[in-house]
Amino acid sequence: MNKIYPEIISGELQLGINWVNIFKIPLVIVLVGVLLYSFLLVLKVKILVDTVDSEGNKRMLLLAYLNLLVTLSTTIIGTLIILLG
Amino acid sequence: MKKKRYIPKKFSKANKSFINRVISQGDRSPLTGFSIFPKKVNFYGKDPDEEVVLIARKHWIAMFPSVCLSILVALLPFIYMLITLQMESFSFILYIGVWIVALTLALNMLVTTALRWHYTIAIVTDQRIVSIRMDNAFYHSYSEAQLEKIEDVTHTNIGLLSSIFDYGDVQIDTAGHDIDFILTKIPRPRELQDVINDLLEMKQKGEI
Repeated sequence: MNKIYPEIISGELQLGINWVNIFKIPLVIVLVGVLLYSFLLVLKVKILVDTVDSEGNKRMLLLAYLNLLVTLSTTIIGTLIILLG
Repeated sequence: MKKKRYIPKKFSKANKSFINRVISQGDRSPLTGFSIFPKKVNFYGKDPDEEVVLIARKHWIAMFPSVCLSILVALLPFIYMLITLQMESFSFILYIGVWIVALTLALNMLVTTALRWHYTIAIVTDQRIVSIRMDNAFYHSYSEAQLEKIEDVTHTNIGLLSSIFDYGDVQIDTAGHDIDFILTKIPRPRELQDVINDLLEMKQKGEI
């Protein structure tokens, strides 16, 4: 306790905000938001497949599922990387 | 060698300009933006004897700005790197994290663009016009108008790009205070107008 006063006086004590850590929060929020969006996209495509049946419908549904899968993987990996970084 | 085009029975004897054009054209691509007498097209509420005459999606050029925006989002980490490279707090692992976020975001934007193109569609049948519009994961709309209610069809072709790529807007006015259909950035708009006008004429004569 006694050591803190000389540190404050000499200016060695750094009580700054770590901007890198603060920057991590919106990145994780964006990733989770995109994951939620891709899930909603699958639900929307399922409704539209039922509404209009045309050639290429299966491809579009597959595309939406692949997007969800890729987004899920990148969200997990990305969150870990961002939090460890 | 051209494949013989499918023309429904009720249209095979009609002497209309769009049918003559269909006969003279070659085979159609399944993912084309514009198709007359398409195969395997069905929609919610279609009657058993109802015939799909035409489907029209937006011209691919209409999706170009969204694709460019996706590419821009994917390249954002470069800007981040340029800003933070000189800083002491620059973290390479965090930079990879930013890359992952940007690429995930760009991928979702691209997929949304592809789905928007595929599911924003106008279907013209021998009984009605159906317009389905999808903007994103939160919005889609479905509207239809009976052919009898259509009063006027107008197409507009404005700008340099629309002249180069041959796309335009088709406005369909319906009777009463119902919602008018405005089909934007449709390829070959004059052809769509011709098909609707021919169908209206056939409907009035009781041929369909």
